[in-house]
Amino acid sequence: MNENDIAQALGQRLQTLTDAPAIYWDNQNVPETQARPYLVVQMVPGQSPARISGGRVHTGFMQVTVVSDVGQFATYANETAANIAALFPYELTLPCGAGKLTITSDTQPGPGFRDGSDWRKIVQADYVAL
Amino acid sequence: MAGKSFTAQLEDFERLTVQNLKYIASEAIQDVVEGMQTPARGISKGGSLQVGKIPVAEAELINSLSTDGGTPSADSYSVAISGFEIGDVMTFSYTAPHAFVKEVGKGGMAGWHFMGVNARKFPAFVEARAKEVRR
Repeated sequence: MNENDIAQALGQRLQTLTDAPAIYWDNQNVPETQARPYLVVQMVPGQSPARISGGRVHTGFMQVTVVSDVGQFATYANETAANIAALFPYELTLPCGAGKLTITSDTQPGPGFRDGSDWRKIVQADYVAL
Repeated sequence: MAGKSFTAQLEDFERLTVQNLKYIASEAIQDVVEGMQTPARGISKGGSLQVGKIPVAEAELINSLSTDGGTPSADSYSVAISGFEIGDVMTFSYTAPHAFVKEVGKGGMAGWHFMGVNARKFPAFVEARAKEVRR
């Protein structure tokens, strides 16, 4: 079990999103020509696994940002964020490496905010993996 | 306290004195805020992203921490937490306009998550402080 296993488990689940737009990960640059909407994913490890149960337990959260054009109704971003949150309900369990990953909170869309000509809305899904 | 039922956890806490509970709560809260206020050199100053730490370039962000709506400062929390009593509600907020985008990230810049990462450590901090008073 490592961070790659966790990213893969959550990423595969995210890719089941119906009509998913382009998805960019932590280590990918978004091309300036990328059309809106698209998603940006950031994996955020929490407590150091070495400090929990001899390094076997990983906690953290995945943040997905829905990036859409500003100046239009926020409907698309809101609906997409809600659909993403619905993919990661409380106590959802996914296979992860040789173990399993469990969603530990009721995933809900977070606030939206303006970033230049973009409108961004975030979703954070908390997990524990062991 | 992983693996213990909620009832078992309550029974554990019943054995603690009010003074101990106050110690656990105030220290765990301080652990969270000190985590949020742990600085790292901002990218515009040659630093690199350190998730869970607060980026410091011009120090506007780290100095904008307001405790219970009071005057913002980097150490605004210390006096307030020292007066904490069981049952009190404390709020911590960053008043700098760019605080939220530094937290969650925006175009081309990943989030630092100095609030989210440390707030989520609160249960672990409580457990660690509770172990201290049980020794």
